[in-house]
Amino acid sequence: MIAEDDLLPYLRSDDRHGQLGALRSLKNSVIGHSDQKASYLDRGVLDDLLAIIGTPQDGVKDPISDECRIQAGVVLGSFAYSDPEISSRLFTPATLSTLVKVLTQYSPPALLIASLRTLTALLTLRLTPSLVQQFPDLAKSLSELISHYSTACFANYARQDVQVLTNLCTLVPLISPSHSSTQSVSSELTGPLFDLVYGSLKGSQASGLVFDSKLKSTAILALAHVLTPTAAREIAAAGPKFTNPLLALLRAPDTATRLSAASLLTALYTSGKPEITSTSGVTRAPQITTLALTLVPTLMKLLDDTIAAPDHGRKCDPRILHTLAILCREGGDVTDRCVEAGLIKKIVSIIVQVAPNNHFAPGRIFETDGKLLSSSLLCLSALGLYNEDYRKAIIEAGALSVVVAVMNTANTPATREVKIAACHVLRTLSRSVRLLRTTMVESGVVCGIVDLLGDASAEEERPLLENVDNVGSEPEQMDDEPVHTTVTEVAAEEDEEEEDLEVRTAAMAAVCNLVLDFSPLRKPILDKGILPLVVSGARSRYTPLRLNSTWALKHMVFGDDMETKACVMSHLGFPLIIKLCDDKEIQVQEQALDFLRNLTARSETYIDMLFDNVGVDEVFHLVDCKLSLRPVPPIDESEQELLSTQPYYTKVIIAAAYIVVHIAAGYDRHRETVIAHEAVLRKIVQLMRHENYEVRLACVWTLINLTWVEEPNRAPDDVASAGQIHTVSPAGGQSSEQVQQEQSVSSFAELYFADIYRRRAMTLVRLGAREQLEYLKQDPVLDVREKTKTAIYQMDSLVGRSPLSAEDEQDIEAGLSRGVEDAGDAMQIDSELHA
Amino acid sequence: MRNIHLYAIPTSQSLNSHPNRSSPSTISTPIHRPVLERASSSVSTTASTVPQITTGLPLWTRSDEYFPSSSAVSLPVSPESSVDVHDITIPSRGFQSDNNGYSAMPPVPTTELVEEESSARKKVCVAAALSSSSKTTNPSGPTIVSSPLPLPLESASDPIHTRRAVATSSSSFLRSGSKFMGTQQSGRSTYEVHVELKHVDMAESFICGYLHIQGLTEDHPTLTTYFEGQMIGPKYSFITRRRDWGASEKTDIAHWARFPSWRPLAKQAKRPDYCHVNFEQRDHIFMRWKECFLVPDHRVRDINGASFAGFYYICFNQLTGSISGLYFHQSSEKYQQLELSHVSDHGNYYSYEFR
Repeated sequence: MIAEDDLLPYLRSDDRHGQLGALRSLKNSVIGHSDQKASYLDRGVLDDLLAIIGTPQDGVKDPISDECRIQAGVVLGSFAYSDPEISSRLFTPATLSTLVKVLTQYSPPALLIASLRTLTALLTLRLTPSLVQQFPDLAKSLSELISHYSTACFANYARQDVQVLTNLCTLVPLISPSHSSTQSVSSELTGPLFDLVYGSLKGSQASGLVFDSKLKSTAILALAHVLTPTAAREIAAAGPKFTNPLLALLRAPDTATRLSAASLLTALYTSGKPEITSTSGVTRAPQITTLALTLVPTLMKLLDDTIAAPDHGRKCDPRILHTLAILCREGGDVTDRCVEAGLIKKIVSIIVQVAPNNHFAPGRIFETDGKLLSSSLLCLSALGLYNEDYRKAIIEAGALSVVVAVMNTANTPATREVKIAACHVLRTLSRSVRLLRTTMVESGVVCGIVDLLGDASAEEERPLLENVDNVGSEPEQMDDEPVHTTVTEVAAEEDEEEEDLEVRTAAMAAVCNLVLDFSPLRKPILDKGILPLVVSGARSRYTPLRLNSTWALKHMVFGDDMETKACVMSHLGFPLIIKLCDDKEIQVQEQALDFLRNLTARSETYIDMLFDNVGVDEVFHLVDCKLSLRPVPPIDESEQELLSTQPYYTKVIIAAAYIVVHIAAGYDRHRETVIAHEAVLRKIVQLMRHENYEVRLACVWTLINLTWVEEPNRAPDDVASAGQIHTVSPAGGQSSEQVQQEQSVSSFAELYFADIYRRRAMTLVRLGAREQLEYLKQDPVLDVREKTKTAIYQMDSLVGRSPLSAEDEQDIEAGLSRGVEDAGDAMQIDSELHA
Repeated sequence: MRNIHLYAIPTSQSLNSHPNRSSPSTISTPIHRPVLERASSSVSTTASTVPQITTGLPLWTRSDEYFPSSSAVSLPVSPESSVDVHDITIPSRGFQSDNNGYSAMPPVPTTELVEEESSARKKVCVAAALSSSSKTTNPSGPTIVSSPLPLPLESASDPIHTRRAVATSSSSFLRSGSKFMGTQQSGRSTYEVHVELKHVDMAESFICGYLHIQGLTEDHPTLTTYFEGQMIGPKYSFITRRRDWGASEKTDIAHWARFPSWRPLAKQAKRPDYCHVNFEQRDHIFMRWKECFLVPDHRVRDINGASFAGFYYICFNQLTGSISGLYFHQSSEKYQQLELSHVSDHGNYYSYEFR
């Protein structure tokens, strides 16, 4: 035994035996004594412990050294599992790197267990999505450890192996708390975790080996966490030999196992179903399998049990609600069953338990209950996704006031997730024209949501897209020693920033719906000065925020409100929107092109503005590129990935095609620009056989607009300009001579335009549009057939009803080329045509 | 909407619940799964290799050094011996206890952190017991969370949040932003009416928009209401089945029968079990439009001299974009006619999609 005051020198000595004794004494003195822990931390014990744990292994067997490392690991674990004030002091880059090193190098199982527990405690305290970027080998090491200990466990089921495995599985979701980090570890971890889960399921059935239920449930949850859509489909394809034992676990005696099984089954059957669109264009919410329906009673029972417990809902496992949220996002029968079982009211009762009277003090309540609150809100948002009645029920249950209260709570790291979830509730509730016009108006969401979009200036300073990737590639600025610290600190800042970006992204998603033209909130939100924030979001290097911001901009120019359009353009400018049209992310492209589509709809002014600012040829070049867009098959991904992005490529084509439709719906001179760009017209004609009916419809509309015969009074500026080419405008009084002259101008203009119209029609016929229209007469979609009739009628009445021979066509072309000046010729051609 | 000086009862009721909602399982919505089925078949070849336990020790050459238990326990594990895992030999490298009598084994994860803090000595020893023996949880007991919660940080970019809600339409006339104009005949008066569709969702058989009526009352040259429509199809039947709307089955049939395009359907449509399938691909779409509140201020309940307590039976012609409607309210003049035609838009379609 050593006197406590003398411990530190022993820890720092090279005498391993002395060190070991000191560590044991240290352990005895700190366990259960927070004041002791604080005092030792003040005296710098952390560095000593880390130094011991990180003692380099030179390959020589040294039991004493190992024992020291183990003891140091246990002491560190004791520090980690104490008051947040103490454990948060452990959260340093050095601690993380030392602990990760224990996992990546080979270490005794006891040290592994201690280190895993410490890491778990620290990462629970503060989610660190960037951890897997800081330590690229971490996922691989975990994967190898899981494989290794699984094998050992299946062989002889030793207690320590089980402990290591359980701790490994607990850590898995914590190293990948964000979507992007999950994706980066998924490929490494899915295989070993699947083997472990499958082995444990098989073990409990076949060999009679009873797996520890704790290990089983953590392993299942870990697998559910890392599952990508592709992996989920592969596993689901493995069929009943995997799913049947899982289904059996839905009736397991302990709740954790039941929950984990439900969670994995949910992940398996809801992951990444592609949007399904039938040929008629009717998209329905993906139908859930009967299997998913069996999960509802299990999960509802778990929820009911917690609500019925004496402590009410406060000890409810957030994962129950999280799993229900994922299930309900599928819509359809599952959502109906959940609502029928009273889920909406149950969730609201839990929220009331956690935060009575909407009192969301940003202190302790959030620290402990943040997960529960955010899961509750997410589940509500899932329930409101598709059904108007459910949205109404959510509002009637009082959820909107909760959302507003959460949004107005002070911003702390602990409130972020809850705020994100609140934004999602607001987003789904605002998917309703009725609610936007009624309840939302009085809810007071405007200030909250604009505040959440935050300070735009912070990010604007940062470089865009490309430069970010180069941050790590400038090693000359970093010395050997502080490298790790610097990188880690940068990463920690990035985590903070990413979470802030997540909040802004979620808020922006809600803004998308709130600024639609039928929303009375559009004006108050714009008046709050939101536009610079949205434009800054559209410049963000963070893709989800860029997507939502572009989406919001598109909705701001939706509708005939010219004042808002002008206001948006005064902040936005064309260069940014054109840049977004070529974004790396296909969905951003889609939104940017839809922005141009909305901008040019029913507005010749903005067609002109687009042409003036971007250039006519540039606009058509852009459209041309987008019309030819095809998804690039990913190199190492399955066909699924292709299928899931396919709809977005089609949407880009639709958006681009409608830009053409809108330009062609402008003045005659706008139609001339379309006719002048044959490359685009050729694409349009080709796309008339596209599998998506919206594409075909847009193509037919282009033809209808290009063969449209303008009513004489519609576009005075065009007629006047046509007249001015050849005559001097009459001035002065209205003499009979002048009236006659005006009449001749007008008749000249008619002839002039008759020629232009015919020439346009001829061009379209030459490009094959007429044949394609013939084909579309048999289109399966009624609307396409109807519009095809219109197009055929207009085209035929311009070029004559009989199909033209190639010679005729040449003659007409020749006639037309010289006929502009000579109206008589044109008349002759006209009579020839009708002969 | 109608003039109240001619017809009484100014109560407003809203379209807030759907007659068929209580029994979703009876809705014969087709299940679209072609993509999914194709998916599973395409990966089945690789999947067949998945459910195999990886055997062997792929990673550590020195593993035997730290896993003495693997040789200490006889193999294979029999069902009997595996039931009580405490029988299994524990690694014997002096890890169990130190010279202070404490277990050097780190506490197992089942140990609560609070417990560890309060009575560390006892707990650490007890903690060596594996949690597999603690299967005593009451199946109906509360779910108590003792482990940290590895929930993902909810991300707006997460696919589970970005399921796209695509409103669909089957006709160029029947889409968000479409405008119609025409008249409503009430008694001897004719009022000018404009309708603007705001949201059309064929999948939900839902439509909504604004209805502007001119000259209905002297105080308000134009009155605008927000209306919601049910499309007759698998989700909504020809029979209204809404007591609060005041229409009996007989009323329904009498009104529908006024539309010439309904007559061929008459015989089937009167059957209570008739399901109007494939409605979006037919020439005519039948609907019920119910005005819900005034625009811009939804709180205004009473307009002197006007009421929107009734609803319209609607026949929409998908070929021409024309709309015929019949206003119904128990105490109104019967068969007030709404006639609207589509306002040409040259394919100027705005694009929006609820996020």
